[in-house]
Amino acid sequence: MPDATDNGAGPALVSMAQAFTGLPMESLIGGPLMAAAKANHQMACDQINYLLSTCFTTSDDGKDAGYSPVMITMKVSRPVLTPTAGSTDIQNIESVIQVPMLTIIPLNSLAVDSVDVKFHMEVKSAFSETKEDKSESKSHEDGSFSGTGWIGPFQCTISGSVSHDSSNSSSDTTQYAKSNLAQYDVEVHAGQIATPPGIGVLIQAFANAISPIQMPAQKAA
Amino acid sequence: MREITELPCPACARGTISIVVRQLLTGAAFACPECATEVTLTDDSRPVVAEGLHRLDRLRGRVG
Repeated sequence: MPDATDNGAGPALVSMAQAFTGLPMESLIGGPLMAAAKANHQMACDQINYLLSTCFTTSDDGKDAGYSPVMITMKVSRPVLTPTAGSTDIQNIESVIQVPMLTIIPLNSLAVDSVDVKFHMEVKSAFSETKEDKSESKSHEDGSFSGTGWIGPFQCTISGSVSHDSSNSSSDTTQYAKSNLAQYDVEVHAGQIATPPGIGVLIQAFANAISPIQMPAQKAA
Repeated sequence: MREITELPCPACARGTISIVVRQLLTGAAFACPECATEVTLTDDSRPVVAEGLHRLDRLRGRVG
């Protein structure tokens, strides 16, 4: 913070331009954003590693590394109504299907979705000068005299007194104040984001693969 | 987070079966609202799904 200097009319006020010069604005603004981006990158990498290591198996034949989905087996029990003579029987037909684990495993799509950087800086400088010269002369002197005499046939009496007060006072008050206030708030919020479209397409493709397909009717021989 | 997974019904393909994956590990069955077809996890696949969920929990713990 530059010091104020006396310019003849009192100390100069703090230059606002100088006060804000040298602030590491790139770090103040870019730092949290870069940290959030790194965090998102790390979480995305973790998520990819989780998906690849959990939902896929690798088959490395020395040339190309391929990923095959991990399949899990599910038992399907379907009630079937079979009409019989006079009644209807309900039978459960059980079958087994294989489903890619990717289609049922929960996905962790946590990411930093908002970063708010608030920087508030306040520079105050104030100069005030109060001069008070008070001159008051006050002296105190006392004196008295009296005399009696005759002027012709008359007797005269003269008396008097003198008083004088004197005092001097002066005051000079100069105030110079400067203050800095800085607030730096970074608010980061992370939450679940929507499943990436690519993953969604992949899951949908796997899910569609387990739907029954209609085969054409076989022609009678 | 997709704690509830939806699968198209492998029997009728009209309905959607909502599956709570963690309950699959306990042997729970989930039914299609359209045709009442039930799906459940076979015993062989439970360790596979359990390991996947365990890894997911570890991932969640790491990222907070």
